Amino acid sequence: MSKGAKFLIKYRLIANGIALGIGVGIYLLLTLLFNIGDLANVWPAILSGSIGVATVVGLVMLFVLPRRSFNLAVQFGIDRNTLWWTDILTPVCWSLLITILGLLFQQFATNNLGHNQGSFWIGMAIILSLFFTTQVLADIVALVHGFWKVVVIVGLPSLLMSILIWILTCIAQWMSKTNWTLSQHQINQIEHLLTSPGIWTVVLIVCIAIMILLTWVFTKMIRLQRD
Amino acid sequence: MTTMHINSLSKRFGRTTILKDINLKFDSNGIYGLFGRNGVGKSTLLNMIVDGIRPTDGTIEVDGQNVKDNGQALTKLWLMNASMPFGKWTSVTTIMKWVDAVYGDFDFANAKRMLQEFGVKENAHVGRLSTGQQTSLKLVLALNVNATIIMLDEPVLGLDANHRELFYSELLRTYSEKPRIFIVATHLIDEIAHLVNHVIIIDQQHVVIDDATDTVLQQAYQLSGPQEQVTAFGRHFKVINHSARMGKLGQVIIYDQLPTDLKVPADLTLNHLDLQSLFIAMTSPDMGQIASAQSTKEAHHHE
Repeated sequence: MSKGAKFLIKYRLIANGIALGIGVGIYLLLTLLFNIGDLANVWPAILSGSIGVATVVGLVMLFVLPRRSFNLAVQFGIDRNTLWWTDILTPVCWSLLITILGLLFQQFATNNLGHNQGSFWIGMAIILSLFFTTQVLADIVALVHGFWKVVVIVGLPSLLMSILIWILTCIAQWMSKTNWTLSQHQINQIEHLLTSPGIWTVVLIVCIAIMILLTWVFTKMIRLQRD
Repeated sequence: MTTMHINSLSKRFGRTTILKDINLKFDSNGIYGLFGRNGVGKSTLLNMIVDGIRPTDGTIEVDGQNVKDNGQALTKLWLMNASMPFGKWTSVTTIMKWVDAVYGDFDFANAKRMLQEFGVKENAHVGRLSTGQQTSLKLVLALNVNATIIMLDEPVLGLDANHRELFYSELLRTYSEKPRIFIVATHLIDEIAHLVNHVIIIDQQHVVIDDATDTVLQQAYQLSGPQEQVTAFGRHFKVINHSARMGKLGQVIIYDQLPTDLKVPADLTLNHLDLQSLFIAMTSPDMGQIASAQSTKEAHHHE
């Protein structure tokens, strides 16, 4: 491995870690502020809140890290192939770490705190993993097409997806406040689905596929050229 | 020593051609001056050399290796330009360590001495430095990095006169201690003319001059006197510009090899031109029209 590659990996691991720490910190602070004593009733708000925070953190990362990495790579004579794989590797590492930690905590929460707490934590893990995957796509696009276009190509789909999930969670919250109630059987089924790793894996894959598709669509629409 | 060849390089942005068929050879150590008017493509050229942006056509080779996606070739290069690639919370010391980590053999002792002379503190963070201090930091990095081709794009941007002089002396000192290829792109031609031993001028998408400084200056003349005599005498040589005309007086700029035994009429004055004046004359917009008019007159003369 070249000195440049080692440098870039170390730099991105630290930078991603700091961004992740800020994002998680903000998320936990908001969670505490909004008093989540009874998680069973507030999971939609927590889920949407985590998406919102993750989106904000991710957009900050989109603005800063891909361009910064690219400029550093040019300054330090690091070729683009090295930049590509280190750029993909570091967010994926963090993503895997977060997912593993999230799943471990989910097990702990399920065993000790009940299903709702578990679904809350696995939701957080999945959302952050999705978020870092988004960043990987953002980095790829940034490298290929130039920085400002990343904001349009990947930032916009991220926001669209966040809005979609907001709408869904608002519907869920509305349902809980109206007379349109679910039977206990239906609630148990939903809880079972929400705590199923298989379901969330499918959700993650579908989200990634949508992101790739939207990225491709926007790329074609804007007629970008590889520099 | 390291060599660099730029072969038939062209760059288009959309429908706009910035550079066309650029051919340059850097086969010997030296301080190369890269000059051109605003927007002519100097920075674009330097960015293509470090693979920051990709050329539309052509190749750039360092020691025979294409720089495209070639980390081994790219780590022989260092570009200092107006951008600041380091985050504002990064300290000067950290940056020097990063440079050493990637390039190796960073001259910390000399860098620290230079930082002190430029008034930049080692523990300062980038965000706390003024524009001039950031430029000074980038200069210190460029003059102490272990690269064999150092490119400086507008290296004195934001520097006061004292620090500009300091930079010029440090550049000479660095070059004398460790001869390498330095390429300096600047608008301050007068200030750097005495340092560069090779001149490259880009104008209207092409390289118009690529020669040793002494050779360039030996061919640069200003001919002045009565307009008719200036025109008559000047038609025998390569006139690149007609400058000021006051009443019956005329003045032309000649860029040509003149015979050593040339006899200049008594009414005319023939002087050597400095580099900046030559640059202005060569890149002035009326150069093409003058050349065309000159060709027409000579054609009529021959008829």
